[in-house]
Amino acid sequence: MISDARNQASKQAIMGRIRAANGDAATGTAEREAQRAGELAQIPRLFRRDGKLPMPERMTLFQAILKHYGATSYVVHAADVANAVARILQERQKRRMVIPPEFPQAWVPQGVEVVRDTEAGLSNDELDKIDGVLSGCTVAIASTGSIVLASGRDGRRAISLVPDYQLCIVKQEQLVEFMAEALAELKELKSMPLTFFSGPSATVDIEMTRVQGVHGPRTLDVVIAS
Amino acid sequence: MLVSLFIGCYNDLMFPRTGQAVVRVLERLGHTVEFRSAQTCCGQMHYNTGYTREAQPLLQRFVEVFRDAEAVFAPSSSCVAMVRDHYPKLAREMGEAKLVAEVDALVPRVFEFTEFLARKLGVEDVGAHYPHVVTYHPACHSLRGLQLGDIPYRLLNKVQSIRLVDLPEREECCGFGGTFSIKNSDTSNAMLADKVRTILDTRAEVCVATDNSCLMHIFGALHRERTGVRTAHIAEVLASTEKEPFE
Amino acid sequence: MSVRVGQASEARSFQEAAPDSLENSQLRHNIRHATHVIRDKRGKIVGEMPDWQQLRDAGSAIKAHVMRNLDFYLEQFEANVTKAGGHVHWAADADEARTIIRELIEQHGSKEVIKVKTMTSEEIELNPELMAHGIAPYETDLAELIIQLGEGQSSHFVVPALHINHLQIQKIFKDKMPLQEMGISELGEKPPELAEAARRYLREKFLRVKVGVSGANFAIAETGSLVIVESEGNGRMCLTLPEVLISVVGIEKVVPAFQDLEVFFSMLARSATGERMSPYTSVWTGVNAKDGPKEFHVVLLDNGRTRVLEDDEGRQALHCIRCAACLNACPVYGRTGGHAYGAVYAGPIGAILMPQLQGMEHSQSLPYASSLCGACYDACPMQINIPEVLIHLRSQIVQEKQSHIGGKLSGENLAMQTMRKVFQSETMLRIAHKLARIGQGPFVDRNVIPHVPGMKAWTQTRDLRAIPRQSFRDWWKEREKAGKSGGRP
Repeated sequence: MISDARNQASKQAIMGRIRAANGDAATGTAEREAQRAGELAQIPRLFRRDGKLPMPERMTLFQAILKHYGATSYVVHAADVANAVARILQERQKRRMVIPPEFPQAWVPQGVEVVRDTEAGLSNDELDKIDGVLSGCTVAIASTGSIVLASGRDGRRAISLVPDYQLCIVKQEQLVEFMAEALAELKELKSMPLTFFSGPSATVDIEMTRVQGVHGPRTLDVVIAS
Repeated sequence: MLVSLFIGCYNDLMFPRTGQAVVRVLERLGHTVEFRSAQTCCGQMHYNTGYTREAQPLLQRFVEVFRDAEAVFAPSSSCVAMVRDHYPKLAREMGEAKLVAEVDALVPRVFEFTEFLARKLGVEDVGAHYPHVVTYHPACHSLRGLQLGDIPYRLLNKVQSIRLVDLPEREECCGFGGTFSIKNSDTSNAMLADKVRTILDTRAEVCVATDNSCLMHIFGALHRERTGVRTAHIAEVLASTEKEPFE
Repeated sequence: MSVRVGQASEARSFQEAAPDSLENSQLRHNIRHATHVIRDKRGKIVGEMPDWQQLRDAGSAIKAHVMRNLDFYLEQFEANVTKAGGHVHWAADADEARTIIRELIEQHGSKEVIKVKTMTSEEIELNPELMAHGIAPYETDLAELIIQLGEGQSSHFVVPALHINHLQIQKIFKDKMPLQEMGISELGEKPPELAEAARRYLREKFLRVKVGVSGANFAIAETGSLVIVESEGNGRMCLTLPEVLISVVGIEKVVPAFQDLEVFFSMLARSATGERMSPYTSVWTGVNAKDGPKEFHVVLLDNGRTRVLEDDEGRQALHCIRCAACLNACPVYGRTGGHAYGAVYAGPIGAILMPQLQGMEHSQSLPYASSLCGACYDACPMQINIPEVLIHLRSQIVQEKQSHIGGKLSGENLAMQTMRKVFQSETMLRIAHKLARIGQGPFVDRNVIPHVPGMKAWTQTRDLRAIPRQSFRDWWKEREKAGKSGGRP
């Protein structure tokens, strides 16, 4: 049986071994803290952290990588988002879409039944039966073709996981060049559940052949609102 | 310039012609070569196999022999990698400050032969003539340890009448790895099989490298299989002239 | 503490196991294809990064810093997980980890768990423990599923089933999956069909099973978050849908801050699969009332890692982010595959991690399973100097052998001591040369030695050049006597 006492004993044993290995007495001393902080500050971060790519090139890069991943992307004017979404969903024959509670009304498309994921939340079976998920995002990364959804802003994770189709709206100003910038943008949300999407689900486990769509949405469309 | 040759234990016994070749090349370029006969071995075999303590007196001897040499060169990238990459650490483990200082002072003066020609002497055309179809295998120590880059290719490209053919998958290890070739001979042979295959694919006559250790291994299979392809150290190619071929 | 890493202590030595793998032509074919494909992709995608070296410098510096302050960061991590409603458990070894996890599952009452691929689970041999106690573990990673259903063994820790071809997979699925119930009347052999079968087989489990078990790629001290990087989406399923989530994480996985992910996210997928980012990366912290499991446990695993930390040089093995770039680059692994290493962690990283985790009596053949070519060091995003650690471990093995009489008198040690003595004296060297020249006599045939007893390991497959009549130093001496101008080389 693993009791609290046993847990604490193991913790102390592990801590003891770590300190012995490092030649340290204990944590918490001002001296050690100063040393640790000093070392951390000395870590060289000379890789690219500040994007210099102008927006048009950033968008082109983002779209190219999305295409490489097998996702389709569209650039539309901010005012046209709802119409564009309606058109895409019609082409894809998606009639019932789940949306996050926070989804802006201005983006809700005509001619499609949208189900807002409320406090009670759709059940897994309901999500399994719905045609797809429609959401915005928190930040997108051009150099890796990634889109980040944060729980509490872009819906709980299950709604962009169980349905088979995902349409994500990225506002142009949310698109940064590098991962470092995206993480900085996410600072306030770093303790929320976050999901980085880089294309639809895939695997190369069968003889290195890339197969799209094992779990998670098998189809990903992206609308970039400029 | 007076340059000190470190021949390397295996070259000394098994590939003396390589030593003769480097002497010929450097004398042709107007330099004087000295050979300090107290030299024996850099300690690489012991060190790499885990006999670190046994390598220590060999390091000491190397330093004693060469400490006052202006420049030391060796026709073996693995020996030079031993000195450059491992001597500083080994000396520090031995714990004598004076030895550490001597090693630190000596290391920058030790070169592999082709590196010596290109980086120290600034020479690429050594007046060589070698009318053969050649493919070049980059020894791992030359490629990753010493990072010779394209030095050997630049030297070979200036050789008259040579026909160079690129070796496919050339950065793959030949499988020698010192005692690895004995302790793990099956795996070593599997690696050698692929190296031989790529060499034969080039249809070259000669496989050339900076290290006789690799070449000894590669020769082992090329000859066993009667492929008719031979091996030659790069120094032997560079030593060869039209009037006096070095075969 | 009793460290146990998979079945390593019972495994055959590398020298004994390798010949079997080398003869398996299916394995040789598949592994060559797989490693070359990933190698090429990795090469291209890393090649487009002008700041790759700067990323490596940052990554290795961060990891080294964490190891020097591991106690601090683990305590910070624990405090933050707890603050966020999660529970932290400390497992000194594999036994404790297994017991903790099993008891947590039993507390919940579930008889099934869905699992995300994690090397730590294999390390502690969790599945047999669960099954022995009436709990069914379902692997959900496609490759792990294939191996679980086929009752096989993983051979690569990023692409575990690379030694299995699609026909073998088809057979395994036909034998073990209830295809009719799943709505599949005829299962074809093409990868998309196989993936579809896996999807259906697993989907009903994702939507039903209440307990999930995972590992983590990174543990963020600053926030108490865990990170999982994956391609298929099975990870997200196991992290999000169950009621209870248990994550078993090696203590070395900790990184200081959320922003530090900028380094690791830029390197992991590129090194592992040659992609800029894997399809899904999940970050989660403790329990979120509106999203995901209601109960979350982290099991922090030591199991020998503190032993690795004790070794100043060997500890860099703890910097590993499990990308397997070294496996893909390795000419030895690329021909023998993972099974020959007899260990959960194979390839170059396995060769330096296993002997240190488990102790030298086991896994001591592994540090010699290398030609020291250095391709692994070149490929490693964390700049782990694997060749240097291999030599360091070899020296420990040798010193251990030399500490008892049997080892002192071994053929190898005697030969090495003799060679050392010879190299310490010019006179002895000359004598040794003479003896060698005399000794080879009977074995020389047309300037070559095709066979010599005592060197069977070489001459079985390779000819040996005969020793020339005159050594270099003899030639030089002769030349000096003749006066330099006389002796043309």
